[in-house]
Amino acid sequence: MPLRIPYRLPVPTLTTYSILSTALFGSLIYNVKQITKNPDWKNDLIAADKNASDPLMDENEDHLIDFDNVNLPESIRDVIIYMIQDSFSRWVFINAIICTVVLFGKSIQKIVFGDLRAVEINNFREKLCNYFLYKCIFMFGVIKVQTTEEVIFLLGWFGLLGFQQVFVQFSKDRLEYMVTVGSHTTFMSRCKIVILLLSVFSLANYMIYLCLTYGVNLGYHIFAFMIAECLSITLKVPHILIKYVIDPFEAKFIRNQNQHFRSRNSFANFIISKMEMSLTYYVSLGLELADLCLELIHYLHMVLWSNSIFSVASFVLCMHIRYITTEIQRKIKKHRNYMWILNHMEKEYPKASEKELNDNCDNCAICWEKMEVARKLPCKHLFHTTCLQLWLEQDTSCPTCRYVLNMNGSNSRRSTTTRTTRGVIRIGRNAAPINRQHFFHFDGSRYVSWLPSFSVQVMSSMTPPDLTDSQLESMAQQVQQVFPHYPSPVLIENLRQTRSVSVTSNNILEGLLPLDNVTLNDDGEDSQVSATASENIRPSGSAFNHSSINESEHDPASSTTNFNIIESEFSPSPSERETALRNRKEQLFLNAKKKYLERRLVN
Amino acid sequence: MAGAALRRLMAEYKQLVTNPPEGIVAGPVSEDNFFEWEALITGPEGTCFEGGIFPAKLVFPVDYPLSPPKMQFTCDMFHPNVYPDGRVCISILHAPGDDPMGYETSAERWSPVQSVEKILLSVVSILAEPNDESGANVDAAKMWRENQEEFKKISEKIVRKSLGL
Ligand SMILES: [Zn+2]
Ligand SMILES: [Zn+2]
Repeated sequence: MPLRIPYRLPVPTLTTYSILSTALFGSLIYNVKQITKNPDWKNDLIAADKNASDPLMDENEDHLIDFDNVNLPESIRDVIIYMIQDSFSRWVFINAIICTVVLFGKSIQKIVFGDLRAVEINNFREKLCNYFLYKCIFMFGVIKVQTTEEVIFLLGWFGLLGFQQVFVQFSKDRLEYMVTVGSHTTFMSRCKIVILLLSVFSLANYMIYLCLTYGVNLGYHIFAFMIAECLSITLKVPHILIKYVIDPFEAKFIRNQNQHFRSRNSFANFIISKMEMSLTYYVSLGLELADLCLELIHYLHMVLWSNSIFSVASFVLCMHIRYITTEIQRKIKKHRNYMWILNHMEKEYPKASEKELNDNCDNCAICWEKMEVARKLPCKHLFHTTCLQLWLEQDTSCPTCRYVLNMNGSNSRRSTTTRTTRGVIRIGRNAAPINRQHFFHFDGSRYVSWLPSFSVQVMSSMTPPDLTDSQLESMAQQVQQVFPHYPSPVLIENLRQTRSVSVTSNNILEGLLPLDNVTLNDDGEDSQVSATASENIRPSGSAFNHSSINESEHDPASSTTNFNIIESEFSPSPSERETALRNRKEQLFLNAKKKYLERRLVN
Repeated sequence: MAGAALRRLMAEYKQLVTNPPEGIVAGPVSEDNFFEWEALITGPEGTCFEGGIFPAKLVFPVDYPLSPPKMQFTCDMFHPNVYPDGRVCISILHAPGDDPMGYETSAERWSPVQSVEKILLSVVSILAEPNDESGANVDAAKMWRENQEEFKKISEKIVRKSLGL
């Protein structure tokens, strides 16, 4: 269960922490030195120990013997022995060790990753807090540690695992970033991360080995607790490696495309993305599921073992288990839907005909690129096959209108609500939806023997088929003969919703068609118009907006400074684009400031 | 996948430059990295946030536009739908799969037909009219409901600060 933690935690910075620890440790050593100068210190200590009946007594004597064999100067040996035996100085000593380890980790991070990005730091914080919380619950709520010795042992074990987890997280974030931004990554930085991941992987494997050899002696429960986390790391690392490193092809492609801004899905790209899709999809699905199942078993085990169902600890654990199970269910459901749609893609969603493509003249709504081959969903929306497939992996509905493509009855309920509720911005059409019922018969055994067969009734509401753009244009021309001052984009927009010349005319007469709704009342269809296509439409529309607002709401004196419509070109050179962007930002600021001050003067 | 994301972001950037929506400027923080943008949003007229210029950071995922970007104001912001740390909580920025609030229907969620422009416009619209349902900032939501005067005062301060005055 991921926790939302406050953005700024009252955690001291690493520098203060390490300075404090060093100071503390230094003063301790000085003190101990002073004490051990007194030749009787050993006897005092042993007497004190006997009084206190320290459970670590035997242990300590072992240490005494150990240190006798080590060839160290007398004074240093005394200091170490004292520090191990005195309980306060033992904690200071442990703190010093933790500090060193943290600094060591930090230096590895510096070497491998360099400076961290804000996203990575955020992820790191979230992960660390969650990890810390669950480990505390585990230590004090489940295992209920008693002796300091156990605490120290568990701290060491989980600390080591925590480090591995953190580095895995960092590597994942960084590799993800590298895959997206080809230009920055050098071969070396990639290599470093891979080496780090591999060493984490082998360390985790070594820890599994340790568990297998020594853990079993501690009892099977403890063994299971110890091994779970290591296994999870050994599952995560290959997942990351496969996802982000095994496909360097892709990265190369990105770099090429970055240079040329190729606007077309080339054939090779298509094949590669298809291959990569199925491989990455299955491997990551499998590993993710395995990881989740492992976690589920781990936490279930904890709850059962802790024996106290009604404690706070088990409550938190149960919440987490709920989270994991829903996550697993979601993954499986998604996968089944996806498989079903993949199998049915050919049959149910036919390739759009030549004529439909020509009539459509819009680009693919997912990638905003031109469509030469497209697939048609039952709601008449067209998409590239690959784009559609990638989206359906995530959600099985039409991206444009949310028409639910589903084999599963339980989800179809969603489709009835989808049309009636509107988002924060009004996306979607105002035309009244027509309820339709579909009967789906799904005969699973026809495809795979173990799939169930069932028929479900799918309630869905959908709008009648879209009017083509040419139809809309001719309708707009009719309206324009009566209302010449309305620009055709506004009319087309409204006609798309009303589907009737007379209704739109009525809207205009009743003042329901404000001139400035072009920008806000975009529906899905409109914005997928490509950059080039909308260039012809939008400038006239937005210019019209500006002038109408100026006239209606402001006195002419202030309006001159209000809107500087910055008609800018999209320069092909990155540096020019950067400068232009900076200028536009400055201009926006200046205008806003001027306007604000003017308004203040008026009031 | 990332290549497609890059091309799409490029197309959106181009559209935002050639047809800028009023009061909004957005673009990549640096040309080396198209996956992190900065956007400036003008507070809509006739609202508490009128005239302010609010900078926000947009971080896009590798599989954009299949997954939504994350948006975070980098200035002070006191608003019912914005977390105290600046993260914007509007339904269209939530992926269809996850449902942190547990009440949204998928119609209001992210879909690839959304775009940077639409996100920014919807943010403008929540600046004008906060959405009561998602209480990202409980204090702000309470104040917005119960004490409009106080809310106005705070937002006025934020506007002035955003303009550097
Ligand atoms: Zn496409
Ligand atoms: Zn559709």
